[in-house]
Amino acid sequence: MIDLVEQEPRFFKKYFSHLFQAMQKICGVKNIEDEGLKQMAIQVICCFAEREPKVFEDDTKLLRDYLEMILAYMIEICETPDEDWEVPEEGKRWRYLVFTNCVLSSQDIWKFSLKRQTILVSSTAAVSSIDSQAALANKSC
Amino acid sequence: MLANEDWRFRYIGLMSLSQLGEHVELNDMTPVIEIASKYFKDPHSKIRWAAFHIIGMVAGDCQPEFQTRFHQSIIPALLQSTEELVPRVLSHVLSCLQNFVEGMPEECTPPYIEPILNTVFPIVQNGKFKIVRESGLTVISSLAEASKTNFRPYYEKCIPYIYEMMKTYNKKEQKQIRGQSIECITLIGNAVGKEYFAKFVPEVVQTLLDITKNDISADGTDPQRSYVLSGWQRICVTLGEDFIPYLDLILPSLLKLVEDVIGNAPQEDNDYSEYTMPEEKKTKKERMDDIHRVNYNTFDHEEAETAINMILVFINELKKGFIPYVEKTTEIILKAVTYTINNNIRERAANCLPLLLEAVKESNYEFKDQVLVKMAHMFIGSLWQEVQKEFDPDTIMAQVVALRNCIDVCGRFMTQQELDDLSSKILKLLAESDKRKTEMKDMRQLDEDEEDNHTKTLEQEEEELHIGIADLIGVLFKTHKEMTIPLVNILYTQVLTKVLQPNMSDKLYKFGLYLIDDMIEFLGIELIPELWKELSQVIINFANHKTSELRQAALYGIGLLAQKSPAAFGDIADVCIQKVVDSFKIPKGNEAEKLYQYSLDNSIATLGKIMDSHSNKVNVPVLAKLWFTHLPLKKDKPEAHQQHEMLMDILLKGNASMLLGENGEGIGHLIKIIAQITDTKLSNDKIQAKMSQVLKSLAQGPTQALVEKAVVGLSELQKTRIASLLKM
Repeated sequence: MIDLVEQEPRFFKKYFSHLFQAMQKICGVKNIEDEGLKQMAIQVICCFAEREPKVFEDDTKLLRDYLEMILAYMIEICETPDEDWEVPEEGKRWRYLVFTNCVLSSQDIWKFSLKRQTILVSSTAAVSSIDSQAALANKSC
Repeated sequence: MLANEDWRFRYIGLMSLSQLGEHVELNDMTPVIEIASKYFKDPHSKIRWAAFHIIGMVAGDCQPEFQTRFHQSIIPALLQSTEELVPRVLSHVLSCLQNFVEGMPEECTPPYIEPILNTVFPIVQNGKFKIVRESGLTVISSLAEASKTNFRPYYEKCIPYIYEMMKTYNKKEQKQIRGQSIECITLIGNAVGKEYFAKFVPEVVQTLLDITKNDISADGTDPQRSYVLSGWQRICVTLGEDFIPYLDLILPSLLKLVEDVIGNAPQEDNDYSEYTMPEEKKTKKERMDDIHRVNYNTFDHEEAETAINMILVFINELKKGFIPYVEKTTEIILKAVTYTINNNIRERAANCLPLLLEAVKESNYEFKDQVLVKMAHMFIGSLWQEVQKEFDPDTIMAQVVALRNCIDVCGRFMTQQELDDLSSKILKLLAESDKRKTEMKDMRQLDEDEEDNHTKTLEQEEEELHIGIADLIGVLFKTHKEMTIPLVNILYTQVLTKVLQPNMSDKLYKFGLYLIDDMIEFLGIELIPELWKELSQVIINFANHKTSELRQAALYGIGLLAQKSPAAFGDIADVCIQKVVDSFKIPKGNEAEKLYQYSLDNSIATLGKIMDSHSNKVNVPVLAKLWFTHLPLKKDKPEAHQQHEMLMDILLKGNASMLLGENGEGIGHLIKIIAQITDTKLSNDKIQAKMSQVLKSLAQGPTQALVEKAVVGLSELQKTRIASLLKM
């Protein structure tokens, strides 16, 4: 899917809302065995955004939803610091960061083509939404 | 997110903030920096880590503005944070400090060198964890690099311990830190300069040779390798011609490495058809996508590329000292210029050619003039052969720049016939680039996809190439003057009229303006009298363009018109002056600060040139006041040197009251100008000597109080600069 989107982004332009919803669904699954799957779902959208940034420029809700998807995934994969993290063994300097950096870089790759104001507004909206969801989750607990 | 009880939310909130600096202005990041600072002492180790991460990222993304504005608060906070107990976080504090220091302007560094060394050096010496010691060592490297000669009082204290690491850390697990010690010691040498570093050189060079010969594994995974290679380059840059005795120990192995790689590889006539589709079967789009020649990139290629880079540094630094190796190097580099299967190698090799010519030119070789011409013809022939085969605009650009530089080094060396041949080739190259650009534009329109970024990028690359070709043509004007008139006529009738039409891209306008500037500068009104009026009009039309780069080129052109056609300029002086005056009022908008400042610098310089060349025809006192108010220039080094020297000359020649007013009202501004440019790239020894003279004369007599009052408002660093000029 990533390759297809990268090679022929225009094909997906017409059906993008379907593609986005499908990827959103993958990221929304609570217990998924393959950790890398959600990351790939994020990457599919990232590849599209990189080639067709205007789709996101024109639709700030889409941008907000995508940011929210990334932030939620990042929270999900956060690991509690253990001794291995705090006092790394030789040769394991960067291991823990691999996941988080992957996601951060996917934010990074496409942001360059978006206007500054769009980034700031959408980031703020996505963060508020994540917070509200967290507040709701805490309440229901 | 940052107020959330769950640490993960706070952590991801901070990590997301760390990414913003690359995409927004520093002003937008100021609240982010304040937020990050609040978390430096958070009880959760990952939150502290993320807070430092923000500072480290912003330090990289927003340098040097971030460093200039925040050094007084950030450095003490980071030094205090080295009390951190978690090794991972402590290492990150040090990496963050390293990022910060790396982007610091030299003049901000002096007050921090000692406190940073006092805190970080003990960590490098006694730290329990390798990750922490390694990060500490990079802080010292960056500190030396940023502070340059300001590091001199400290280098003797640092080098012996770092040298010990370099010499004795030979275990497998010590390779990384040993590599970093090589980096650190050579950066310190580079910073403090040859005279200071000299006493450590024999030992450092010997140890580096031992490591090169005996301690680097051949499989390409040894982290020491890249440190050793860049270490040699730094030592060469530091020692200059004193490096010549060591060249024999290093260069032969580098040349052999390049020769082995390019000699063993399949060349042009090899059959790659099984990997590629036949050209005739490809669609237009496939041909467009396949603009790169078959390009293989292996570890060997990277090694050869690094080796060519080192050779380039050696030739550039040693110039005539490289003479004994010119012949052998030329032979190998020329092969590399035509090396089919790796474009990086072709590009790097092309960069070496003008430097080889320079080495010969500077030598005392008896027949150097003949040799130079022979080599130039050989290099130009070889480069043209490649340019014609090349499809990648980046590589063509490197080859065109090499061609330009080869001609620039050799000067006037072609016959009329040779020049005409070269001119036709250049025009053909321009036409081909134009054709590719049009094809890409058509393709976008055919696909009804105006937003196809990939094709747009390729179009922009072609336009960049146009500008490179303009530079190449410019050097022909410069070196072969009247012999280029046939070329000028073709360019004027067939090229300029086309690219300067309305609705063309900024890059094409820039290409056109560069050509015109070069015609005015190098040919002058004497050689192209019939074109002068039209060319002047184009320049004037662009002088208030909204795009900084175009404005800059046009304003520079007006300055040239003033200097190069004293008689003809009289008719257009008023309109030119008005354009320059109006150019100061054009707002920055979304333009990059650097480009905008370059344009402003050229507005100031052009005023100065008009005043200087036409003092009898223009209202000098009015222009001088405007010129003085906008000084100093801040980015354009050559223009800054010219204008700042002119300022001092006016003051020294007794015309001070024109600029400073009868009662010395302008002294405050003058002191600010002097304080801002002293010991920076905007000044030089000659200007500093004149500034010292001006300052000394103003600091006594009736103006003394005004000077003292002006100095009070300066920063500590600026006060030091003024004091040192007064002592000169």
